[in-house]
Amino acid sequence: MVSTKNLIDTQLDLDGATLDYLIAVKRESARLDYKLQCDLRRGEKDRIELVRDMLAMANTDDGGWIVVGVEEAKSPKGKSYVPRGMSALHQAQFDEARVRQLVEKYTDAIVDFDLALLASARHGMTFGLILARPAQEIPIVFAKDGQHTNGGVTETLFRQGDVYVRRGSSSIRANQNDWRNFKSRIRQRERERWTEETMGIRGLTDGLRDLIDLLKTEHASKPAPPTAADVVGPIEEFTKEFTKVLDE
Amino acid sequence: MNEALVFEWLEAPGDLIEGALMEASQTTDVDAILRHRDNLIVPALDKLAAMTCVLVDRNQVELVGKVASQLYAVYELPEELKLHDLPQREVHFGPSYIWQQVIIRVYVAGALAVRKEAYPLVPILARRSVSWDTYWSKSYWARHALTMLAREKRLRTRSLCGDALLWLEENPYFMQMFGRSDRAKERATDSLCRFDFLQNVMAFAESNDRLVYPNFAFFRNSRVMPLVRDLVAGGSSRQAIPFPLPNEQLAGILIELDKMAGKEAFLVGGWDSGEWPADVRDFLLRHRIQP
Repeated sequence: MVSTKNLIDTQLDLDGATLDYLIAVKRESARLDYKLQCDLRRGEKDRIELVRDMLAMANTDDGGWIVVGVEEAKSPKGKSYVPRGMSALHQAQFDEARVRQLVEKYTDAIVDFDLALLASARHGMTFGLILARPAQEIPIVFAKDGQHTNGGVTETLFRQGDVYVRRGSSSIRANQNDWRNFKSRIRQRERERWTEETMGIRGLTDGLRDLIDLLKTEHASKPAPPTAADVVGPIEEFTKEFTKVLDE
Repeated sequence: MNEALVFEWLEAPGDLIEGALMEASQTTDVDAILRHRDNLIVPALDKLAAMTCVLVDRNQVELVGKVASQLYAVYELPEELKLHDLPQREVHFGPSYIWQQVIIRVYVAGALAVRKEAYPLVPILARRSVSWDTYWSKSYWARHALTMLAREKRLRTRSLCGDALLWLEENPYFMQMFGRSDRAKERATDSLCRFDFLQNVMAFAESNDRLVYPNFAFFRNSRVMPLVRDLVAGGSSRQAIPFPLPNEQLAGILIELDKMAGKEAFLVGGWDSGEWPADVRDFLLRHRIQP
């Protein structure tokens, strides 16, 4: 069901309603990627693109969704996303064991994901849906080059040692800011673990962190995309934030 | 300005409305539908309207175009999602509900554009036609909405100007955009009627036919007359007409609108046909049309 917390929330259930919602969004983002097809048996490029996107999402704060069976159509008016469904052949190959094996081929880290073949009642077709959760141990590093051959020419999508993240609708190599973000997330997790294990004052630290977040929002907030909570929240605050975005 | 971020803001309410409409369209549970309508769809539409008004206030032409397209995308959703009316007449939800909610907010933003004399924004908001039915291709979306609402007896007053005014009274956040004094309601009424008048002139000129509806007719002539005088004097309000409009054609349209408005208002008061001030009468005479 649609969460009021985020427009594309990785807490959504892996079910037909979520599938229909994600198809209806019609816009790729850091948390949502569409693929027309995913040939896990013979599609060398499909396979390594899928691994790259899943690992990039796992390295990104909130993880993300991949919907297989939606075509990106470009026209002078811009991009549009057309639901096509997955072919029966690709559906037969689309299983968790195969994808897990594929992911493990390219990284030694644990990648937490769920996968399902789902029928869309709205579109009368079957789609593949993958939920890549944010990784516990960040960053996830590629352990092997991701290469495929195209017309006799070998193309490399990522290299051993690369770390990928999602930015906008692309999966790209992490830059200095991303590394800073990783460091801060790692420190945060370590702090949490330490306080929980040694002092048992998790509630207090959570409260303090909320307070700090609130102060940050009030005094030094940088405009960010709106959440669903903003969209359904008080109109005065929404307009104030929107004005800030315009003035940035 | 971070354009990509601005676009994310402009698009967020539409995304949420689409998701909520889709869910609402898949259930017959009236309580669930009402929850989607009142807790998601209406607040998200209000945010779209608020952003439109902010951009109108700042006269940001290009972004007004973007946000108007978002409103239009929501207007098209009932057709795209094959949304059905509920069997319960007492609960208004279905295509006409969405059309009503969108068009009222368009009227409010349009009225604000008129109030701010940001006339080039008027056609950006008004000049859209439904894409799914060729019958309506020559009419603007306001006429489509009005006709559908009238057919279903869902108009609260007898016109979109009246319905938009009621909505403003219920939504003081938007009413205060027309001023914080007691005069705000008067200004809003004038501006709504003038926005409606301008789009009628545009639609009449473009279709070269009576594919218009004078919502302004349910109010007194004085509400729009300053605008008419400015139009005939070639003032800034002419910027609301985004194509060449010869004086002869404008004169003809004024006469036709006057007749139509007189007929509509015949039983309820409001527009008084043939009551032109001297300068407008002179304009009509000069352009060889007898008022």
